Amino acid sequence: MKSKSLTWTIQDQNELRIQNIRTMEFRSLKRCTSKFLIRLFDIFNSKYSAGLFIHFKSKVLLIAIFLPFCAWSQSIEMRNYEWEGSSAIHQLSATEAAEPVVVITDKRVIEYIYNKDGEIEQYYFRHRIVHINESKSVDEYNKIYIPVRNPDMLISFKARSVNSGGKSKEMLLGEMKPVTEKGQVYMSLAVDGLEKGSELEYYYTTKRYTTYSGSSEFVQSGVLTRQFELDIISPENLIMKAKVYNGTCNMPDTLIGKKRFVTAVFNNVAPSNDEKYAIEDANLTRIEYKLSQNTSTGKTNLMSFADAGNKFYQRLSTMEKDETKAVEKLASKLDLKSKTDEDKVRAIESCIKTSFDIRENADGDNLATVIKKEIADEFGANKLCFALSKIAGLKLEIVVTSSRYSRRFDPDFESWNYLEDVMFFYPSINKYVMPANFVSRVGDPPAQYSGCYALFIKEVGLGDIVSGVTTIKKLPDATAATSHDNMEIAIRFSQDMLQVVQHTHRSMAGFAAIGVRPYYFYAQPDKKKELLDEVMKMGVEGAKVVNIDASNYNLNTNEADKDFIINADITYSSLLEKADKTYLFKVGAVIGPQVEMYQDKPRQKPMEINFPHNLDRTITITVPTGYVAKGLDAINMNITGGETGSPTMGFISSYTQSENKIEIKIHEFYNNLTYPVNQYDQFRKVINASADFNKVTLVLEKTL
Amino acid sequence: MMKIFISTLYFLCCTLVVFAQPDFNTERIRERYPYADAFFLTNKAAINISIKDDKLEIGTDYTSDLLFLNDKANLYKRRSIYYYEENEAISNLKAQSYVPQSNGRLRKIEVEETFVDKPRKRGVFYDDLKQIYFDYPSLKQGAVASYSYHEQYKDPHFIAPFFLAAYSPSSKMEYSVTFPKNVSLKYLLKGDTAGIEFSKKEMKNSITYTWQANNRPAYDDEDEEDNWRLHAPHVILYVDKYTVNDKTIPVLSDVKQLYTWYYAHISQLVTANSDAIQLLADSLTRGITDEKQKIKSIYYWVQDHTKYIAFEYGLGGFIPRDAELVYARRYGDCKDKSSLLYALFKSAGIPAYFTWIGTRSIPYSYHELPTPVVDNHMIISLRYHDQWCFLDGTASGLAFGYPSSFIQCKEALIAINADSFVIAKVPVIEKEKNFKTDSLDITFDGTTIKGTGHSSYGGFFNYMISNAFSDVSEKDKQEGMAQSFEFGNNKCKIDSITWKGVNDYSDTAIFNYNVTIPVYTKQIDNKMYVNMHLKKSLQGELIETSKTKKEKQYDYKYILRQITVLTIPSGYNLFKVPENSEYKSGFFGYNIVYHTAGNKVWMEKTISFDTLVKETNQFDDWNKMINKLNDAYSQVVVLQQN
Repeated sequence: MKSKSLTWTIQDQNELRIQNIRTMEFRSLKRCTSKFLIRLFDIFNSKYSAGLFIHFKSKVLLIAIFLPFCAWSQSIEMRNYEWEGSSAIHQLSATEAAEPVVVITDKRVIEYIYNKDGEIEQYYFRHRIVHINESKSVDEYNKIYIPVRNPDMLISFKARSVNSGGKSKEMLLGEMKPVTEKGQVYMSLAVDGLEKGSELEYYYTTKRYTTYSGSSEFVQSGVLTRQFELDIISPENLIMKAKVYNGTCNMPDTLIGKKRFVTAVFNNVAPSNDEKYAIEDANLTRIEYKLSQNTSTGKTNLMSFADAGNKFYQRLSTMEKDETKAVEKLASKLDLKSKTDEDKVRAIESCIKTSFDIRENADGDNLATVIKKEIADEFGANKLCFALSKIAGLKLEIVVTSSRYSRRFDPDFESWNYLEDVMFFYPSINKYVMPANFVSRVGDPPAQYSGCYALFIKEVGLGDIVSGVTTIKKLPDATAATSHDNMEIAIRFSQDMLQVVQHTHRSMAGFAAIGVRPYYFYAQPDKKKELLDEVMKMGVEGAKVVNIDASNYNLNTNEADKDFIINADITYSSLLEKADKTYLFKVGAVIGPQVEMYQDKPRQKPMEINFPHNLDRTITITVPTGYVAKGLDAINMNITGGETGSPTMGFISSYTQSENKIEIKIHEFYNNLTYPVNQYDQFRKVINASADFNKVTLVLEKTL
Repeated sequence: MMKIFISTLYFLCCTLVVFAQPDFNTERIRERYPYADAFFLTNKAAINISIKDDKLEIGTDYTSDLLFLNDKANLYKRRSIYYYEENEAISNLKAQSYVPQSNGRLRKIEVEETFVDKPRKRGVFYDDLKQIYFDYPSLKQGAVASYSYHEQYKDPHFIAPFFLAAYSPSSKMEYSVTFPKNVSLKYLLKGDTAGIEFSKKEMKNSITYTWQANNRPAYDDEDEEDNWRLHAPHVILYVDKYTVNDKTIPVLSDVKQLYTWYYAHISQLVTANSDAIQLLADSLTRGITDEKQKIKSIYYWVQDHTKYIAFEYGLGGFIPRDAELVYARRYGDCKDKSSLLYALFKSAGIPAYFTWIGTRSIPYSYHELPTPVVDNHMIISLRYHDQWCFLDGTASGLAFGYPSSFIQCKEALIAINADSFVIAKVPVIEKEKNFKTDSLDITFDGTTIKGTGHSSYGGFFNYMISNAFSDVSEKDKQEGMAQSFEFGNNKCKIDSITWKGVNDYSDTAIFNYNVTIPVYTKQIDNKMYVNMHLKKSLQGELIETSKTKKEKQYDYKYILRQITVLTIPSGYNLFKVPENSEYKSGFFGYNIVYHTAGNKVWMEKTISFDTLVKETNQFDDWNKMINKLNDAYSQVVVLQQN
């Protein structure tokens, strides 16, 4: 079992997470319309920080890092914190009054102290005052959840609600109830007396797992914050380093008595707007911090990326005898020796992703147990992949980074907070494998890591000593050339002119296939068709899928490198309107409803898409005998944007006509992953062009 | 919602058989159920009732063996058992995988570790629900996952229903109960009970009832709203009474007995008095002489000023909290809010009554099943104009006179006093009250439609929109409201929207707005084509009769009206108007009428829906209507340019 007390944790983010749980659940439910998808969704997301597995087995090492200047037990700065006696409601500015909620104060203190045994301990303090302007916001704030290691680790807690008349109602720690969710314990409280115009004030101190290799605090959120303050307090010999992202703040390091204070203050932090084509978390103002120096030992650059790299290597490569035996047995079953490098990698990956159940709460440390039970945590999956690869004689590098959606890896700030996810790079085939990601297969790194910096850890032997040597490199950028969702659509009309009869050949490649192919592969047989039907109906009312089949869906073979192909016969009854013997054919609808973007608020965040991609569609219409098609001019569109001269995004459509055939060609492309805010207008026009095309209607007039 | 029981419906969850040699043929089962991932070899629950120290002891032994039919076995490794800690104790949990070996035998691997979690249930802040979970090792095609455990009930009023249905096909499902002869036991068998075999075995001192279902296909819930209580076969047991030392002790003999037990939960609240509540009631009714206004003032205050937070710990799931506490906290669940409403009405001199009720998803009546399984909700009833009115403290924004839609046509158990109660049926709100009328006055400029709109939403439609906007912040309301009215296509822009009657308990909400819809009309040569159906309600709502084998439930009856008036701009003449269209069948129908006068074309459309349940034998009629309606929607007005 893991020695939990010394585990490097992601606790720090949990409070933030709990507040988002509702929205996250909602989002995930919304995205997945049928039950089985929800289940798969859960499974695909059953990963947790790879960093979790780095922990220190040796206490000696810990003491070496924290070796105190001189050992004495320190007091916790915030232990005896009391709020102000008066509980008057705060006056709001006009801007604040217009917000549903204003966080008046959000003070957080992260404190490291030496206990009487000279061991370092970490405490987390938070004090918040929240002003509720609207009744609707009460529901979001009348329940408090505080993540704790166990209920005893909540050292202090006090809450009060103050009504608009200044009358307050206090709630104490004893009223809290422990709840556990997915292994995380929370202390919870339902807040009494909260209503419109009232304020919630609470503070608490928790003792946390000591985390010093890198953590973060989010400054910005969805609500307006009047004053934010973060204090990082450490014993005088421990120097903490902090960096602000997506914002600016001067953070001096001040020595007061025997303690160091790194303080960050922000005033009037604007709420982050919900924007289309934007990444939320990675663009919020936040502070990353870590231990950098111990003046008692004279050691600088503590917890460096190089240290992390070697630790990752050691943890992944160290095996007990029973483990080696079990892995060798498994490898021989996979018959790796006779295979090419690529096939070896594929066989190892398929084995891990189909025979093993990768989930939290599983034991991943010992591969013999993992292989016996066929259950592993993320670390277990990584270790198994590493071990099998070594046995197969494959050269590989350990790649560690974080998702650009949550926080972009910063090569200049050596925080282990960036070391969340692990994959492997195989130089001989120039490809990556991410064992814990069910939907990905050998190839480029998953899209959320495209173009991110990462640690590349290589095994280097010097005599008997083998270690992991780290370099920081950029992961390959995804390009539009490798991801597309193309359609060849052939359209005719039923004899009675009541229906549009369509054959669609859809081919999805690269990341563009990831939304469908893995789900199709993993879905129960009777759900497979249902899934494809939904994909191919293109959101058109009354669409009926008559025949459908898919090919290249087996993720465990090289089919995964080929285009995922869907062929379908579809009929539509709602795309034809009529007046006498004239028909209006809504041809644009066959590409599906497209996003329409408005420009009502100034854009905050750059536009960021999941991956660069091309959408090429060819629509061939057979005009029925005796009819002539009119209104074709509306098809021609040419909207591009990006750099002058070489557009990086665009929607271009045109047509040709010969006899009774009309052929429409559409080329829509997004070459970049991100577009700067100053290109918002162009981006919007390109996006809206496809929404315009969606409205294109042709008229079929009787010729006689 | 009040606490509800955890029924044993085997989603894919579910003791102990030793598989020395497999006596089943996986291949044959696979052939029979090609679409199934797993198959229940056995699935049993055996209840044993005994009397100890003059008290009832009730325990259930569950056993289940699940065979995996394909390589998806891994997806089912984690299994969970849920139980309410305050009323149920779980013991003797044993679980093991039987993994196929190359010699055809099954090797037994024990599950070594179990975990306990305290999950949060949707909509409940804190309760005594617990989850025991564990992971089966080495599951693969042909493997069997087994478990067995014992569940002991602490209160004889709560025996969980047992469903003889599972989301995987099964070989054998069995539910049995053994009880001493001095216990009178009753049961109700519900759902589609075809193929359920019942047997009774009498021994010297005890009787055993057994229900069996053999070779069952997987239970298929067709959609999210599927009410498995209506369709999945299940048995609900309850103890009528028992005799010890010649003394008969009633438990749940009849509704009267249930009521007596229930009443004990509220008796203190009925007699309680509170200065704080009196003061609040006085302030809410001061200067009001009209009784209806007094009722509204109190009812709406509770809806507006108390938030929904449910604590369902032990009997806290059944006993309403003290009104003064709810008032101070400004939150509570349905019972708590009912308690506050009750106390306020009492203080204001308005007779009001605690009421238990089951939502529409619970298809039992009190007389057929006098047990707490029948209800899951608490409201307040009062007499107004010689009629029962039902007030739901949790239905924020719902006007007086409307019951919550999910209790329409349900039985309400109304507490008159310690000795008497009334069972009243909640009325169904007639369709005329739930309406949506959209009047659009439009013209066009090129391909863009421009005009003004006037909409009125009545009854539940108003409640729905009020509810939807109750948690939208003021700064986003204008934009959100405008967006909710978009129609025609997704380029539609609604602006200058104003409204009244939203979130203020009005019967009807009124909206006025301007509308612009770019790229809507089509001009070719000298002809202009305009589809007057800017809103195509029910378009594409065909029922796939090959897949849909169960009735469909609806929240309320309604009438939709859409009136579009097109003013023909100068330079155009009317060329052709579509034909009128209508369809009428039992509970639903529509009517579309066009007429013209001067430079105007009118289209008036009415769709009516007069039932809460669309039965399967109405599906064909329904599809005929939708097809006809779709055809009417495709007809356009043609104008000719001069």
